[in-house]
Amino acid sequence: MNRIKVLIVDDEEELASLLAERLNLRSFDSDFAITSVDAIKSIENKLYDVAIIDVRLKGMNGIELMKLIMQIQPQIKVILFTGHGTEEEGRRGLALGASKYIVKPINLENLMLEILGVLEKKG
Amino acid sequence: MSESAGIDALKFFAKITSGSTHELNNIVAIVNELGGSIEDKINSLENFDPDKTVKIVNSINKIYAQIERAKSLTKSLNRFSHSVDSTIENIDIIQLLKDAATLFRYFVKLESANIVENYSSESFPIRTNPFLLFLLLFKCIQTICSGIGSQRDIFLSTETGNPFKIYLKCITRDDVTVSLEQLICSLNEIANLFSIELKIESGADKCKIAIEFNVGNINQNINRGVL
Repeated sequence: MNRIKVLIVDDEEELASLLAERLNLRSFDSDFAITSVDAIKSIENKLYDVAIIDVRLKGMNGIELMKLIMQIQPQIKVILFTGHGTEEEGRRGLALGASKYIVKPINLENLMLEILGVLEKKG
Repeated sequence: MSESAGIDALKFFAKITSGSTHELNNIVAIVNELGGSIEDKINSLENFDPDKTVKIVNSINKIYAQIERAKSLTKSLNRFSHSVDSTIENIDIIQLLKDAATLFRYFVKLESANIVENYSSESFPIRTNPFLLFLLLFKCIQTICSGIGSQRDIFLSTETGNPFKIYLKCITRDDVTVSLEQLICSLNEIANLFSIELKIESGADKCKIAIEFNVGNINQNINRGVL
C-alpha cells in the first residue's frame, strides 16, 4: 500500500518534528522542514501528496511558499497552519489555492482526517 | 502624554501582547504534541499493560485539560489585543462577551465571585468599538464585584434585537459593606464616564440589581466624538 507522503513546514522545529514522527507511527510518510529553503529542497527531491505549511514562517511567508510549491508540484494539496490572529491569512490562503487551513494547536486525529479529506476531494 | 501618543502607546502594548499570544500558542501546540508523543511511546512499549500505565495516561489527560484552558485564554487575549486595531469595526458581539468573560474571570475569582454566561444567540454581528466595550464591561463587572459580597454569581446575558442588549444581573448578599445605593452610584459614574445611559434596576427586595445597556449608545458617542 502506498503511504501518504506529507511535508510539514513550520519554523517551530520541535512541533514539526513531533508531528512528522507521530504521523509516521500512523503509516504516513512524513518529512519536515523548518525553513522555506529546506522545504523547496524537499519538494524538488520527492513527490508529496500533501504539504502542511505554517502561514508565518521566518523569511518567506507561508502563502508565498505555498505558491512556489504548487508551481513545482501542481498536484500537491496544501493545508495551512494558522495561529490566533492569523486566521485571516488562512482565509487568504484558501482563495489562493490552499485546500484547508487549521488553527493550532491541532488534534492529530483531526489532522489525519483533514489530510485524508483533502486527498479525497482531489479524487 | 498627547492623545495620539496615548493611542500609539496602546497600539504598541497591543502589538506586543498579540505577538506574545502567538508565541504562547506555539508553546501550547508543542506541549500538546509532546503529550501525544508520550502516549504513542506508552502504546508502543513491549508487554504493554494498560493497567500499569493508567496513572500516566491520567496525568497526560490532565495536561490536555490544561492545554484546553490555555488555548481558550490565549485565543481570547489575542482577540482582545486586536480590539485596538480600529476605532469602530464589525464584530461578533457574542464572541466578544465570551472573550470578556474568559479574560475577566481571573479578576472576578479574586473577589470570590463567578460569571455565569447565558446568551440569546450563538453569534450576532454588530458594529462597535470593541476595546471600549471591553473596558465598559470590565468596569461594570469590577464595580458589581466590589459591592455584592463573596460567593456570588454575576449573570451575563443578552437579548437579540434592535437595539442589541447586554444584561449584567446579580443578587447581593445581606452582609455586604457597600450599600445598593453606593453600588448604583458607582455604576452611574461609569455611565457618565462613557457618556452613555445604563439602565439600572434594583429588585423589590433591594438585593437584586440588573444593568442593561445597548451597544448602539457607544457608537453614537464615538460618532459624536464623546469617546
